[in-house]
Amino acid sequence: MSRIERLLNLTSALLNTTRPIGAEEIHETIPGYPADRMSFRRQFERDKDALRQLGLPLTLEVLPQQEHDNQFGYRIRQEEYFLRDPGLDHDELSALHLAAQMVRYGDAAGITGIWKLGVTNASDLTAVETAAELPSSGALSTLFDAIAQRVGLHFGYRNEQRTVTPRRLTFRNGHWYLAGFDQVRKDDRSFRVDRMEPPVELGEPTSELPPETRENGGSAFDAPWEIGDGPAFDARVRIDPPHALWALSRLGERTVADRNADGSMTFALRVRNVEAFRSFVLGFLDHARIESPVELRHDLIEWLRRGIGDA
Amino acid sequence: MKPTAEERLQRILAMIPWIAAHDGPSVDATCERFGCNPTDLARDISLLYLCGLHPYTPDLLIEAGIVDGRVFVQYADYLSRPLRLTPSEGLALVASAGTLLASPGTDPDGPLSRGLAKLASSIGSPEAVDVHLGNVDAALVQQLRDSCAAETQVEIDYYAYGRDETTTRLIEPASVFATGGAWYVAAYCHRAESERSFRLDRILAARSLGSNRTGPSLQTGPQSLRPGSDGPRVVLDIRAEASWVLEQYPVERFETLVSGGTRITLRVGEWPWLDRLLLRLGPDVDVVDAPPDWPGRRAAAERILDRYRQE
Repeated sequence: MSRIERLLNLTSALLNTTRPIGAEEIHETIPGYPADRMSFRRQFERDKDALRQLGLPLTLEVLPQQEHDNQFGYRIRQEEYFLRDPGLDHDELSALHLAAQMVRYGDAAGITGIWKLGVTNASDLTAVETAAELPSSGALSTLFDAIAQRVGLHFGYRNEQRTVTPRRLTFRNGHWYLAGFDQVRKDDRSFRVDRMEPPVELGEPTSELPPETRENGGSAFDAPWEIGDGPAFDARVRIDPPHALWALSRLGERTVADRNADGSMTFALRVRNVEAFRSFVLGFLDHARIESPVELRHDLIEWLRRGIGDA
Repeated sequence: MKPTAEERLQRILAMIPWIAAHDGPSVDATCERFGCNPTDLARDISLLYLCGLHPYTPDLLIEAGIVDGRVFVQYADYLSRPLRLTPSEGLALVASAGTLLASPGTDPDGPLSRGLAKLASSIGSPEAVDVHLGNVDAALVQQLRDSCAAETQVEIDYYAYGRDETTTRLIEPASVFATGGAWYVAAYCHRAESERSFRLDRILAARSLGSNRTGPSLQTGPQSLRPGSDGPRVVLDIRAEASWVLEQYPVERFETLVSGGTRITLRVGEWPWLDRLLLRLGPDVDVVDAPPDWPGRRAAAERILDRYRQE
């Protein structure tokens, strides 16, 4: 009796049951385990690890007739085991496979998972050039799981415990963000995933969410100076060539107020967060100038003077 | 190399649903799909024939065989549907596909996009992941990719952010990729006489010269982006309000001060890079130690203040 045969029989038995199966019963009914209890235990542990490594959802449950003894049994719940067949055509599967190879996402989980969709032809991976890198973190999978299962999330953020109904994960400016509805604040919020404080845990199934507010829209990430609770300023910033071109690609055509004769451009921005705006303008060093309003100019001048001890 | 029991189990579990769905596929097609040879396949099939459910009477065994060059598996309903992806596998696939779709030059209505839509909805999370790789000019990406493929030279006008200067360089592109929220081209640079990575949003103009490569060929990609660690060190005391620096800058060492602030040590590439950091931190930072040739923080601040003096 080979180990692979034992593993296949074990998988079949755990899948084809409507009740959990105790270790003792497994020992008796699955051929190929040593008779000695201790050796059986060791090999069974190893087999369970192998199944879990493959991503089979092995669950541990109290045996129904022996609840008073706290006896546990195992099963693979079919509804958790099976993928609703996505019905991928061959070219679609090949395209997904190629994407998993071209994008370096943390570890190789994308490539290891694709066999479940029916590809095990691990072609020469080194032949494919990496087109992009995405950072991964342990919490990301939990967050994704919560979105897929439509359950809430509990995690710490800025020293507060949060309960959030997740909407989506966004990768922007080199970071992962979770957009969701903060159940305590009763409003949409975005959280930087690498700043979440563990443990990040799944919560209760979620009910219908209110429509998303603007806070979570794309501008929140690209224009941090728009996010804040302060009074709104309509600011104009003049940026020298060639930096104006970069600013244009970042800020977009609709923010251009003037194209000046010297090649510089004036951008019109709405500012609610003065610190974020100041930081953005200072990134241009002396290649940018705040034209208006006077409050924001004074803020910048005052900030620079205090920095060099002149205030 | 002989596959492990786990690897064989994985292949068999992936194969059974596919064989069941294809109603007697040919040996050749099955081998091609799963990257194995006919001998491996015959071994797997004869193994399946021995497996099934307790008590392993003939009616409970899987029926599998190869007849006239076609593969059959029967009575294995519990193994005949694709397996569920774990959350990390699902996320990795969805994120990789989303990343490639966000790259210029990918057909938005092609097989990748269709495959992603099917996959995401089958794991219950359509629109769960949203990837933005950074602003980029699609025509420039194409121009540089063409030059990678044709192994030709390109002349670029490039704004070096760290040094705050614009230079014209002759480069030989080797790869184009996205990482950390921006797009880069890795290339041999004739001006630097070595390999360099250039951010695409800082390339102000690019002229394809059509001339052939003369520099060494590069084994390059995202890994060549690691920042140099041989620059001079500076030591800064930052106030508690500015502790975000710890997360966003490559801090070598830090210690908490009695004041609640933090003393950090950073390696500095070019002075304008340090200028930007100090300008942004303004009164929230004190320079504790810097190399003797550092021009000091006043010069950069005064250059900006000058722009507000000339009314």
